[in-house]
Amino acid sequence: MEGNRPLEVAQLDPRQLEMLRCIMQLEFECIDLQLFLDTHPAEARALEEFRRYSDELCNAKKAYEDAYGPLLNYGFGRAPGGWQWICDPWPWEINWRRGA
Amino acid sequence: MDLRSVALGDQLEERCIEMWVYQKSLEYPAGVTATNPRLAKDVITQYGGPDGELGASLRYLTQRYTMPLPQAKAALTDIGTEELAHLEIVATLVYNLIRDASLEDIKKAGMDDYYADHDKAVYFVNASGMPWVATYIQSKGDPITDITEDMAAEQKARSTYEYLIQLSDDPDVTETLRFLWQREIVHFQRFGELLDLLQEYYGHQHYFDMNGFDPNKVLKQE
Repeated sequence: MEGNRPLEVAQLDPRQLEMLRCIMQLEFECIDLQLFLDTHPAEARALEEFRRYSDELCNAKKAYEDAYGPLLNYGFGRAPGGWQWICDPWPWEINWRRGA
Repeated sequence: MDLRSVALGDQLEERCIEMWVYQKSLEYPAGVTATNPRLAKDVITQYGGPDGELGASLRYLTQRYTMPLPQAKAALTDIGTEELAHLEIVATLVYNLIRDASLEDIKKAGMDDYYADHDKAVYFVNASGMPWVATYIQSKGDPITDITEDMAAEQKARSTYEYLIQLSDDPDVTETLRFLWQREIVHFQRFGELLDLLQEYYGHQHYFDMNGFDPNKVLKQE
């Protein structure tokens, strides 16, 4: 890696990053439980956990969208302010460095 | 949004039947420590290589149409969709590894041949520059055959991530590769469960069987 320049970390609102990180964590729980439930649809405990995380995720997304605009396109997200969908950063423009 | 009743065992639920939607966030917080076109040239194989995320997502999403079981239709839809999220994570790594690279960096990394065709754009190639081809994947119509291919695909992707982790000299990229590596193991497990369900569905006698071939009849004739 010698000679390679460190990448600039995008200057973002730390609150926005924190909310996004929380959404990503909840969503990962939901993704993993969803795949498990696909092959174990009768597992009541997993379904209960899925519902709990999914409710938490819904609330976290609502709070994020109220502040920073829609997370989802085609009307699946909320657009309370102006047309914030086009606002940067897009997912590939955030460099999630460890300890950054 | 179209509300329909979906029967699942003895449960009847009202659910949203949805099209695909895009969410403006990654599945995992992917990071890159430093510009590194040499590593980008290796990691790009999980974008457009034989065992990469493009092939994975397209393979699962196209195989689901001919699946006989609800569990298989759901799992292929969901894993295929998750692979699209992984495709975006790999693209994010490649893009960030090369976006600030100078021409000198690119030449030193041996990425000048890629640059000649694509500049710093992200394109579907393997580590040695071969473009993605549909023959990397199969959709065979026999659910046992397709799920067996999917299990092999997850193992091949797991191996590739292990080689990339060995090659990576960027701690943030390594962390992200480790996440993707773990997901291959989870997907392999889910496909294994689908194979069990399908074998049960077909009555345990068709696993290594050709369509229409009945071993009992052959045995009776002898």
